[in-house]
Amino acid sequence: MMAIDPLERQLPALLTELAEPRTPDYVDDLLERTGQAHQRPAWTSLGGWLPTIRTGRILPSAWPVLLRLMVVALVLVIGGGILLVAGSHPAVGPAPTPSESPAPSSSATVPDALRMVRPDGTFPEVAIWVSGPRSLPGPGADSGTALRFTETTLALTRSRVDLPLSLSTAEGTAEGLLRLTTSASCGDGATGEYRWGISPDGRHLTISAVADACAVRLAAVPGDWLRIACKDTRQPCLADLAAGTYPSLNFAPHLQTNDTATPVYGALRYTVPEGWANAADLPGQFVLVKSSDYASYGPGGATNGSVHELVVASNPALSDQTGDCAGAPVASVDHSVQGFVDWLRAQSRIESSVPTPIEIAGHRGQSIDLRVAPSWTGTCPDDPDGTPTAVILTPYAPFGPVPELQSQSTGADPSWALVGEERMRLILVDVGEGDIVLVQVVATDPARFESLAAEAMPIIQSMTFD
Amino acid sequence: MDQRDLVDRAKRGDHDAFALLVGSAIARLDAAARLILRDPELARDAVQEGFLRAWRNLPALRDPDRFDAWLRRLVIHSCIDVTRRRRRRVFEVELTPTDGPATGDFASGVVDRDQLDVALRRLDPEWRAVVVLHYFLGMPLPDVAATLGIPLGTAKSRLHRSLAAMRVSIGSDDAVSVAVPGGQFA
Repeated sequence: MMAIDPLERQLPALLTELAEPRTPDYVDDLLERTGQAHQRPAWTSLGGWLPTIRTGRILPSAWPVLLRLMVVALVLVIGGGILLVAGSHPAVGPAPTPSESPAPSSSATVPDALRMVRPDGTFPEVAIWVSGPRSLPGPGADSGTALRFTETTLALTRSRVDLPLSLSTAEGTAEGLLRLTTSASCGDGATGEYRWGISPDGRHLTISAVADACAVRLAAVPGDWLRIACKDTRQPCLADLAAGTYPSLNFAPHLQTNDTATPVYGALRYTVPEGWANAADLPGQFVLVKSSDYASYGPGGATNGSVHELVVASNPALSDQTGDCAGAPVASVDHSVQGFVDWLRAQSRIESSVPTPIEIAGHRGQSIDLRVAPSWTGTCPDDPDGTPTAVILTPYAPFGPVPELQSQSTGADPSWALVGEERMRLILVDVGEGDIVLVQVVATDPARFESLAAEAMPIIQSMTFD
Repeated sequence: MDQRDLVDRAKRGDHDAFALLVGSAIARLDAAARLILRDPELARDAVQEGFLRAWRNLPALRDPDRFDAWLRRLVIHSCIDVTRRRRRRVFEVELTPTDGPATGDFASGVVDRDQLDVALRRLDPEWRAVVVLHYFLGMPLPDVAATLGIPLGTAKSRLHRSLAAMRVSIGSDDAVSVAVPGGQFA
């Protein structure tokens, strides 16, 4: 009979005594931090972002509050100095077919339809409509324009909310009419009246000016607007799409690592049939999914570990496998489609198909199908399942400093990886100026890969990059 | 509502559900962190970082039933990260002997918490983690190895050598010449 070591016998009780387990006094502080931190959307990963951030910088808990205060202050302060420059109003998306405007819910508030009333009668905190760039002073000329309605106000901004153009009180005054009264810019009290209509599906808003003493508004508000309808209402995307051709809202094909994530409107255009949804549209990354999959998405993306997506990313970096799976950018590879393909094919952790040439809107590229090599056993420390994982890319950090997204950067660059049985088609396209756009079709369920790829390829072939 | 439901809800962004998960797990993980780091402030930082990482990455957790193990792993790795960031000096002292107590005799005595505290502090935090996971959290060694991301043999070796070092330390308060590779003085 083996004797029990006396130290080992005493250790559990001794350690418990030494530790004095108790509910920590920082639980409230922790929950405040997590409450202000965004979850990393599962859609931003090939199979979900790997939980591999080892050095994520924890922002002070006061940051989001400060950000909001700064934005409000900027909105209130800047507007007065903004001058009118002639505006143009590029068309957006499929031509809307305005219907009769709903009656305003009350004479003192923004009409419910403009605030995107839900079937249960609730509203998003801010209802955002987007359109193309307006010829207005200030930086961000390539960025889109946004109307941000609350119950009683309208903020006019570029895609970045740190560039406010005007803030008005807003109220429905009669059927299909909206009165805006300036509270910042144009001088207090300048009023304007606009006629509006929303398409039957609620996705398109058309506004025309009746009259306005505020030149900034008059230059920017009229036009056609698309509804922002992400599951996470703070994120910019169109969600379910009707069949048609659409502009991207923020995606920037020429965005490079270390660039400030400046949104560009319409730099990617794409055509979808019925049954697709736009799940993300960030400067570094754009995502389409089948509507049937999007139906089960939550604010953070896929909720059941099932990720079947078409992802477009700007200038990703190849990444070596590291023990912590944070990835390490490979600097020695020629930044070209051929250089990337050659490197990928040389990695023992990846099994790849023979690359095939492809041309998208005149841009040449190569397509290659990838999966984790059967012999690869590397895993990631934070993966509870110990699934073989092959890190391959470091994308542009999608949570970069784009205030519109109201996201908090961790300061870390997550890696992209193939996990387990996942299948991926990776298309690398040279879009000029030395930039590479990466288009991926990814399926966590390998049985769905071929059909998903077959449906995705016509969409990919429809894409244009500016 | 069971834990799986809470995890599912938290995965979808339900912060209230996450708060309930935090409430049920944080006391024990905070205690484990304080044992590993031997510094309440560092433990607080590590636990908060671990839970923040859990919240941010929860949508990527595929199997809700693995939440506890995954969360434990995140917190323990945060502890290890903290110690690595703070490491000032490295001791490379031969540990002799490795088989049983060399000095003192506590076989029939009772070890008090001060002795244990001293003995734990003389261990490298990564070795201390093996002891804490196994004897405080009650994890089998294969789970300890998986949590720390080390081979099972390494976990066994660290535990064996940690116990040996602790026996020496407890048996002889002036056994300061005995330390373990990579040791850190707290």
